[in-house]
Amino acid sequence: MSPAEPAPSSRPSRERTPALRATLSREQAESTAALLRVVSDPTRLQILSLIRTSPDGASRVADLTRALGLRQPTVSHHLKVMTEAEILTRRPAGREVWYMIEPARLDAVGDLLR
Amino acid sequence: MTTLSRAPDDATCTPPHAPADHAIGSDAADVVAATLKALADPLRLRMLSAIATTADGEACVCDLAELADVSQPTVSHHLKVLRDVGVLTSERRGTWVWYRISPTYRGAVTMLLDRFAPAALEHRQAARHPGLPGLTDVEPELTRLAESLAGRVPGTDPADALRVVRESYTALARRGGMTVHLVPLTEHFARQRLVDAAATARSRRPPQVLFVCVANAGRSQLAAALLQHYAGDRVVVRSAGSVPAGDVHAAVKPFLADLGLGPDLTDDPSAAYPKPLTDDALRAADVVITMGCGDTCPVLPGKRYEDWVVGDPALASPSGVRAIRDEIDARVRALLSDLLPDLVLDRTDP
Repeated sequence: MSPAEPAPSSRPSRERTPALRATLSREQAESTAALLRVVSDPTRLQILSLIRTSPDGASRVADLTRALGLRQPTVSHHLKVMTEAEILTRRPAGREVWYMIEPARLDAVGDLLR
Repeated sequence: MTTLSRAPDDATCTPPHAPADHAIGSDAADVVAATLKALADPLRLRMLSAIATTADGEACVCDLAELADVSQPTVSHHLKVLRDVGVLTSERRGTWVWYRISPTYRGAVTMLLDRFAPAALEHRQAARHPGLPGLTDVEPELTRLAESLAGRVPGTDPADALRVVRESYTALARRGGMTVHLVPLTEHFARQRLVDAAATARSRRPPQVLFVCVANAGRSQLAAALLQHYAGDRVVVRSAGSVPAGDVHAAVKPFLADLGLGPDLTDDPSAAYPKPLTDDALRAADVVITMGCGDTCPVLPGKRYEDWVVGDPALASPSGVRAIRDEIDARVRALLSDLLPDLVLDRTDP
């Protein structure tokens, strides 16, 4: 806190200058928290980061298991959870499945990983 | 499809760069995950948002407890979690601990609240309303939005919030363009309008009404006394005369006394007395009412003018004075219902 700031009032319930922005609504807070709950896991963050930085923005389970040194069921589980939360989309191509970040979420995920 | 071009056999698949070089490292992932986990709680997010949106960027436990009807220990617990991961800093001043967003997280928190949160909700709403939501489909959504906004913009009446939300939605829908985002856009637009309206309401002083007649001895005095009686401090009342008399009409004095005004200025400063009409009284008034006595006031812009044609008590019989008083009374009530629609007048009063 800079010492140049005016002496704080001792009364906590002092008249405040009203904020110019409204606060987050309950609904916004809930949807945001739900999304954060899904991604607040180190492995999931690494998966998102790997997919996001992969050349075409798409990865297969095998790419991820290799990069992370994790077992395939573990990676598949995380992919499933994030797909259900509509953070990832699956794109089957032949016998393979490519995972991409849901386009609508791309900016949001990018913000989190920055 | 471009992805196929870089999909050779699994056995030989070595991406041009090891992905881990670009991707987040496992140590960093642990730290980021811990921070996001701390943030992944609706109440904490709302607290963060409340702190971020205060004008001075800080809040104390007492401010935040109001947010969600939770006890101060609960609030303190959530704040501690956010402080432990470094998102908040705290400082004790006097008996209160003040929390602010820590400088290193300010950008990230702004991003989270301004971009991530709306995107999270928008995505959910877009999924709920594929295609073009018509007004009938969207009505429950608008009602919910209005309730939420009424709670979030201090000084907002729920009925006003619903009206503003509906108007905003209709205006945005008519404008054309992207319909999927109409509800989030409506929220943004309606919120701005409600914040503006609340700011105007805060800065608004009580309306000032000036009654003018020639002598300021009868009609304008009665009207002023009645209005003051009904409105109390919610209206500033003035009266004046273009050629003020020496004293208030004797016939009017009993009616003024009924309204609690003293009989004589020498022993009661609340007593009415005729006053000259001045330029500043005119300028200060929001509503100027002439009392049918042929006064002409300079017409200034932005004011409301009315001319009430009522008889002169100086020329009337005792019962005539009573009738004039009742006539003025009815007009004052009508004026008040217009100026202060929420003021409830006692029908039998006075």
